[in-house]
Amino acid sequence: MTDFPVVTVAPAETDAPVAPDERGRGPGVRLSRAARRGRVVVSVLAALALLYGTFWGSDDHFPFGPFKMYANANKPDGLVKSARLEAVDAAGDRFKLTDEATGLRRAEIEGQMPRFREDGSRLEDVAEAYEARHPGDPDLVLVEILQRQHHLVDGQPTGEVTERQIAYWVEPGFEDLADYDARKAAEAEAEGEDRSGGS
Amino acid sequence: MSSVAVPAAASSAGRRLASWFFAAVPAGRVAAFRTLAYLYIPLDLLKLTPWVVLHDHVPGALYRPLFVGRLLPLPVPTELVVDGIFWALLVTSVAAATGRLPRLLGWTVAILYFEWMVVAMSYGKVDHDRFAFVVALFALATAGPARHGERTPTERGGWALRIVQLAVIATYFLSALAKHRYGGLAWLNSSTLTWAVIRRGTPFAHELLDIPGALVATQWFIVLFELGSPIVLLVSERVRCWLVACLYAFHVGVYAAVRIAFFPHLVALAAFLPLERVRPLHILGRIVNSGRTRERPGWLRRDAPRDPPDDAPGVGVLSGSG
Repeated sequence: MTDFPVVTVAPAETDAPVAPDERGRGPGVRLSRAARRGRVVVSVLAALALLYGTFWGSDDHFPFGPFKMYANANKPDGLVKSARLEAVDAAGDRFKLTDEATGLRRAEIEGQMPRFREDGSRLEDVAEAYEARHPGDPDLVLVEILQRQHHLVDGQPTGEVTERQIAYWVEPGFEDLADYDARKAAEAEAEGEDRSGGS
Repeated sequence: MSSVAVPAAASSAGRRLASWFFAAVPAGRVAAFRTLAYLYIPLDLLKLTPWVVLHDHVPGALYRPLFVGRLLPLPVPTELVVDGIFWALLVTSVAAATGRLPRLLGWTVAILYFEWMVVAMSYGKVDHDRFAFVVALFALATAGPARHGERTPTERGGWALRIVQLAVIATYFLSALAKHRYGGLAWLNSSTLTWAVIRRGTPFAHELLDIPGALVATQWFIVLFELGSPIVLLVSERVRCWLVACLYAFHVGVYAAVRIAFFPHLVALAAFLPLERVRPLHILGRIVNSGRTRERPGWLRRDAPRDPPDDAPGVGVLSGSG
């Protein structure tokens, strides 16, 4: 079944001298006993690390962590959560912080969410990352993580979406910007006024 | 011989395993895989994962080093560190793709790329498409010199490609075990693919959503094929090429459905193929020269004896060693 059957004819564990037709390539052609042993040891150690990672390890053990792409069994009736970053700058503009704007992927923000939830002031580091990429623009005075939850029934989205604020950092003096409920209430009121004004 | 039958049988099995593990391949195959793998790196840096270099302006406080980053004294990524690795990788990977200084450039690229992966995955998200490619870079550093089109068999190169093949198959097989660990048997009938399609499915995938049971059947298929993937290691080269083509087709299907492609894994998958038969520069040179003159230039003539027609007998055979 091997591609080069004649190789299997040669005893596998000898240090046979290099055959005449292997000229010029020296040790590259036939591996010495020591070279084989070293490669076997490294292979076995890597295989053991990978098996450990698969059964007991985590992503932290990269590159030997478990290959858990889409490995979770999602409940047909549950929530699909997606987080995003929003910011307000010193000029008063509110906008979504994209991956390119901060240099952090959305999945990375989600991965560090427990840290941000624990201490929202850590989001100041995200503001710094943004400011380092935008030296000419106004500094940020608020960074917040908002999470949308899409409700599922029988694996299908019901259309019901709820949003909540997970964490925020705010520059002293701008605390009112971080009051999510007040902002939403004000937005709803403004929308209501628009509607009544328009009809 | 019959008086030591049992040890002989055991050692014969060991020898067969060793001869499989270290089966020589034509050096040209190693040269082709080397060029492919190293040329993938500029594409990876510039086009496919451009977000890694964006970590250069992220404050060190957001760097949460992986286990290996805590174990080894790796630097906290600063602008200097990230941009330095970026440019060093670009230059050394293109240089290594030429096949020159295979050991020096091979180890340099492997170590730089590994550190690049630590920079990529230490901010809260680890990707799972890199294992076989990282193995390939370290294996190539040990594969020794090899020229394009060269038919001399090499065990060093054979082991390097074998270990990449094993890493590729491990990625499939162990991901089935990871599904069992995290999702349990319930994964097979879960709504995982439905959920993936809702989040990032293409119009093609949404068609599947409308066919009752299609995505659950796909989940069964995925686990069965992942568990069956080691077969690729055991079949003849002809069958292997067909099976590898099926694997590529599977990844094309995944990309068509959810726009996810494990590009570095796909590069490593090429370690199964007789790449020495694909010689784009050689063919290009022939086309250019056949248009110009009947006489071959010196560099082609020198190469000619090493490159008999594809139907020549004895490809890769150590004719004198039997």
